Amino acid sequence: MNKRTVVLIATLMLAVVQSYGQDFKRFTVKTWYSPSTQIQTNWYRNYSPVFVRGRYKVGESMAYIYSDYTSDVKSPGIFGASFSYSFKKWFALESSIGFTPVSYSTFDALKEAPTGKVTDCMICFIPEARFTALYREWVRLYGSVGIGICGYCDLKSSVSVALQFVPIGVEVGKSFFGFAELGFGHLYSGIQFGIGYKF
Amino acid sequence: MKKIIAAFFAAFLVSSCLDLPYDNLYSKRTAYEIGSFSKNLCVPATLYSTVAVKGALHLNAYLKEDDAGKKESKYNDIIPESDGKFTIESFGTFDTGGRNLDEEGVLWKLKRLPHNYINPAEFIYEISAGEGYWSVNGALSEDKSAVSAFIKASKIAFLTKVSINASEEKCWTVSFTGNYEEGKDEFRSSFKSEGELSVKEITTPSYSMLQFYTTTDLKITGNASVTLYKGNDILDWCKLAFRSGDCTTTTSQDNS
Repeated sequence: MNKRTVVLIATLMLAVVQSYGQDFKRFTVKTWYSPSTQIQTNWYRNYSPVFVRGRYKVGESMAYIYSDYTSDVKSPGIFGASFSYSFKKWFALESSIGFTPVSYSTFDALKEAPTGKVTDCMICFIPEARFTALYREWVRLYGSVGIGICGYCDLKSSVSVALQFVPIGVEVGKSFFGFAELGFGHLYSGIQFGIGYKF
Repeated sequence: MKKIIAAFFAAFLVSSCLDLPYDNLYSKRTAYEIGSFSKNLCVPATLYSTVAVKGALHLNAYLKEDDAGKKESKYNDIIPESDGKFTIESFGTFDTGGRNLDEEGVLWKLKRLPHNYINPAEFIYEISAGEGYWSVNGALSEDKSAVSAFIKASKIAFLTKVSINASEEKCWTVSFTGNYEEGKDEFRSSFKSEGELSVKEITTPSYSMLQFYTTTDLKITGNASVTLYKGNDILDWCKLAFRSGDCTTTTSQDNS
């Protein structure tokens, strides 16, 4: 461990120690759900090494044209959890992990008959910088921006850089709270909502 | 003015493939999928065969010239090789066997069209004179090192008849029949022209990069049909309609 790392860890620990006795709770855990899976399913459809291809195929060979095909990729939504530490009331570092189950059916192109169903998933990990514009006891308005990685659940295929931008989010509650936010990026694009706990 | 002659492909499919059941058979794939594949079979038989004949006639005219005539600028693209072989830019290497094309029983061979960017596959053409037409036997070369995996695993062969008297009018009538086989999974296809197709040559002067040049488009008009099989079972069929190169002159007359 080099000197710079030791200084960084010491600074973080000092910030944690200093946080006790302050007038706001610095640690937050959240669990959330987003129904907005378009980015993930598109990503999976276009880049997954195991996804075969869709119904319509234009190619040079008959073996390709009449090869087995798949239905569109479906997902019930994105399930995730986040953990954050607030340095100030207006600034926190947050890490989010999102889990997106996906499934699709496979078909025999010659018989036009289903041959099976495949389930898989995608996973994203994104550290974010979070900025709180309004901090009240019962209500907080915030936004965030983050950069991380996304990949497939088998963890054998390569991961890709992922971005996330949340222009607005709102928390309602004290230690236990509910929240909803609008975001754009690889973690989710659309609405996200969930519950959290501050301590 | 520098003159560059290039054979460009310009056959547009206005309606690609009928999406109808064949008798009471179920059409398994869409018209677009089958039409795109079918075009890859019919275009070589139509267009490349005509280009092969066009190059052969150019070389045949050269061979009939005396020594002074052979030095004319229009023959600058012909490079004599050994043993009766000639390489022509934009066409390939012809093996004449030392005889003129219109002599009885003569068969010329043309190996590939090396500068034809739409035809990366190496086709071998055997050109001979028939009764009222030039006969072109086309097949994929056994040497497929430069082509895609698909071409390597497949065989295409066709017999094309190109009208014999139309070269001066820059409009040929073409008919063909051919077969395609794919080793994997016993996929195969038969394809043929429906009646005669016309191939019209349109020359356009152009200017680019500080030089004048001439592009030659060959445009196809007519219909062809393609049937796709797995083993003996018909999978799909397709009628291709080429609509771009209507000829103003005809070389065959319907007297009915």
